[in-house]
Amino acid sequence: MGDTLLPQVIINGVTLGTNYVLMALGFTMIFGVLRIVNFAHGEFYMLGAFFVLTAIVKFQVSYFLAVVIAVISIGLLGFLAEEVIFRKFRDKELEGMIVALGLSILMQNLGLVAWGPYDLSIPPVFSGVLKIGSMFYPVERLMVVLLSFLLMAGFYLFLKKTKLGLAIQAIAQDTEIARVQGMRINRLYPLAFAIGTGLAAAAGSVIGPLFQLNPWMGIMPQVKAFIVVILGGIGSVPGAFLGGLILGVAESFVSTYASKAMADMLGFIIVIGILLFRPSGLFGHSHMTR
Amino acid sequence: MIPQGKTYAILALSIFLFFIPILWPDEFYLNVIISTYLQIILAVSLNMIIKTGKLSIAHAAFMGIGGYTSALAVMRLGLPYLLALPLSGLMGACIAILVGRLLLKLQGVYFVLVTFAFGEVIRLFFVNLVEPFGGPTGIINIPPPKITVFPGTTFTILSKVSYYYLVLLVMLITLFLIQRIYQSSIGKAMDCTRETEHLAEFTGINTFQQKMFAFAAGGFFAGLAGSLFAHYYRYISPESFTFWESVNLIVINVVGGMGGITGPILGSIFLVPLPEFLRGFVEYQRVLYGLILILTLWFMPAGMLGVLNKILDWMKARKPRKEAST
Amino acid sequence: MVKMTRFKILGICLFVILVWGLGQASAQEVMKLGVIAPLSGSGAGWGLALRAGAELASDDTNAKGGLEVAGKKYKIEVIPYDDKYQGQAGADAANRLIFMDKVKFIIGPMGSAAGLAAQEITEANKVLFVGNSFTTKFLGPKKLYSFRTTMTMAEFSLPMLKFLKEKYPNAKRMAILGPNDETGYEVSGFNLKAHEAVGQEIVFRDYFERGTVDFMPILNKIFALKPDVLNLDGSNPGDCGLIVKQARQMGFKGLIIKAGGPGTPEMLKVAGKDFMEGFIYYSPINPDDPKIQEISKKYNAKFPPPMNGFTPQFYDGTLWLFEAIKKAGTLTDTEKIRKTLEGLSFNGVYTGQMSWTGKEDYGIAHQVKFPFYVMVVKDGKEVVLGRATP
Repeated sequence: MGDTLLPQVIINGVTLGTNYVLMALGFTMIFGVLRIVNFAHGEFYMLGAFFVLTAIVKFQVSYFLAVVIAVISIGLLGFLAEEVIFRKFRDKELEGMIVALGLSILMQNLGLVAWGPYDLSIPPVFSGVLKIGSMFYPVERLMVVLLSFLLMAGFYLFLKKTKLGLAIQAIAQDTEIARVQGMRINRLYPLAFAIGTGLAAAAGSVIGPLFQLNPWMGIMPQVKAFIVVILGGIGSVPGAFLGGLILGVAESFVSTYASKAMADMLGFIIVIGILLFRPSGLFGHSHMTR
Repeated sequence: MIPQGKTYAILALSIFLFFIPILWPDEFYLNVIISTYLQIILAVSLNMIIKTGKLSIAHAAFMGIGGYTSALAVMRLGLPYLLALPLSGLMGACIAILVGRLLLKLQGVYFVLVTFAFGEVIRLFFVNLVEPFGGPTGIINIPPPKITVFPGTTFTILSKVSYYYLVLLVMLITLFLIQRIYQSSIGKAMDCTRETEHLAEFTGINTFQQKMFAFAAGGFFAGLAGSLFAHYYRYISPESFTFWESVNLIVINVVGGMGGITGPILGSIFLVPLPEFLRGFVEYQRVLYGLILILTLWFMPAGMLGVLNKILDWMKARKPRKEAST
Repeated sequence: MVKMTRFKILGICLFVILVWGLGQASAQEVMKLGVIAPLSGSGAGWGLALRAGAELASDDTNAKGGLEVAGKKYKIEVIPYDDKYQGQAGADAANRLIFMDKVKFIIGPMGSAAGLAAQEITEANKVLFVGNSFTTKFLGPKKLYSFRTTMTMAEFSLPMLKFLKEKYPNAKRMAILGPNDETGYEVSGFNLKAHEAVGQEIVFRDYFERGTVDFMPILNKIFALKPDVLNLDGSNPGDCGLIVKQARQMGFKGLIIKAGGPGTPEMLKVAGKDFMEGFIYYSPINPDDPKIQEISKKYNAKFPPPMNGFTPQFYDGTLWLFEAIKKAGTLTDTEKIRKTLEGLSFNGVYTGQMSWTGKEDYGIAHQVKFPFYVMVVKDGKEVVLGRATP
């Protein structure tokens, strides 16, 4: 097959993977802390991209500023969503999940009404292609990877080094005890949700210029987020990181050496395999009955 | 066991239902009602699975399994419909048993996610295998059911009126069977399994068996519905059995209320014809759907059934009756 | 006793719904034209194009006083329903159009599943079904009332590839990449045959799941096989734009062609004009034609821009149907109308001379054919490379 193929496959896989990681981080955070299966996660991703588009096209804002605006706005939206909508379902996993589903349908179709059914695109920000040996690597992809890593690092530092971050970890581990220790759940829950949706919006903003935008662009990333989170272990940050990269690289390999059709099935087969043989994923807690 | 008055009420209702196509033979409405009946079969059988505490987003996949089985049984194996129909149910049940062994061990949200993955795998299966499933184009020209009651008399169920009766019959049988299950000790065991699983185990209930039974029975009825679906539309393809269809069934259960079979029935009656009435608002149809879902959970957490119960309780409280109430 | 009242209430509700519903009467006096198309979800772009074509054609006809049938003029009312690109929704839409709205003519659908499912009903009720279902199974000797007014790969693949062969005789190795739905599978079959007929070698063929955005892994695999030409098959414009962009970013210098549906302006937006340079594709219309600007304006007044290339095609298809109805002189005898339509060639406003073909391929001549353009993108503009005739 040639030696140029393998490095390209790996690079492709890592690029794919970092995208997955960002989505998975937000999703696992929301589930780990709030126990909500956020079916609308993909829609926050979608909104992130569309906010960037609107900021650039309508308000002539620069790309980087647009990303910041998008992430903050959608974080705020997430904050409100938890306060207003999800608060009522805090102890009801099932209902919370279905409300998220309703929200997902609502947001997708509001997006359709707002932006129409056609694919839109954000004007490209970085151009040029790097040539390393016989490998080709578009600059914009490199930037996506770099930006994503920056965000991941920022998130990690936040969790481990700031008071707020530690508080969030605490309530994820044991809400009751955290409450007893005086933590304000009513502040922390919406905040955690906001961070989760902010991460999703970041993923959308960063990826936006690479691909096209449409109201259902969040569906696939959502599915991948599910898969990664199960693979890595629900509620686990290192799990989301490793899981995302593993999935990305695995898909890249299978696409290239087997077929795309198989690669599409791959994620689901992995999920089933993991859930059956190591349900806690790579890093999570056990969730089997007996 | 069942109070007298109720039996009469059910009989009266059933007879009423038998007369509908005679009184109103409008093809469009018959189509809506047939779709509603099919959804009822699916929603109520899903309710059984939910009753054991498991939320499955793979129900539509089992419907698909039934549909393809039925179509292929009649078209390739030349089986008569009266055999193909139960065969579809059995296929659904068998596959449920096969995968249930592994899937049902998972708790809560993990089970939900694994059924999601399983449903997708099944769909991709149908999409990618052109032989024998027809791939993305599916199977066309599925023959209408031909039912031989006595040798020499064969009915071809082609018109909407005749199909109405077929579906009505299967639906009533399904409802009857499931209601019996609910009222029997198995039904109570299912409730225990859902509500206090460890306690149930202490009292000697094999909760795994309960879940397996519900899952297999659910798969059976979903398979039946799939067969009816395939021979009604006379065409099936993978996008009729996606995650969204399964989600729809959950929505019906949630909106209708999950206690007993009345909930999903109410949910189906409300949600299946709803898109037809929303057709005028083409773009906003789905927006309204999402909104209705959220609002229902917000204001009516016990679903329509909950609201109905409240109304009935209110009516009872206001007018005390002379007859003894149960 | 409580349960009894519960069931009674159920029964009453059912009763009320039925009676209320039946009370709806349908209006007379206008001519109703049904439209079945995907109006939500990922097919919505093309569905909108179809709906727009039918509606604009109806608007223009109404502006001239309406459709004249047997001396009387009728106002055309378009009734569009969403088929969600799905079989059952398509059938439900057909049910409603035929039994509730009482239409006899339907424009649509786009997808194969919706078309095949709806056909069971339209054929049984002798309703004319004029559309774009891509699957070969949509047309057949037993399907007397179904017509297709867009060309599929079966019609334009071979002439397009022949044209290409003359211009680029060294392009021998083909790679085909299409979506894994019915458009992809069916279309691929024809592309395959056509490629072989002109002596090209297929070195690669695979399908991707709709919703894929990252094609680099699969392009990686394709380019390792060193093809001369990449054929984008039936992929939709957004996906095509991405594939072109990513392929060029990876350094692919060969030809990229699309023997498939329209959508080049969308592709230009996604891929940018540098990467799109030299892209060759099939187009039923000449986008520089001033008449296209006209219809584009009318479109933009009513629907969200930009106008997709399918709209003028459906416009012409709708007018063709109207012409047949007019010539047949009846609004109700669909048997007569269909025979009239079969015998009618039509000079489309945007599409050129349209006539029927298909006896060989489908067993019935209900497939349109017309001379089309082979286009190339030069410096961000769509330029006519040549013309070909099926």
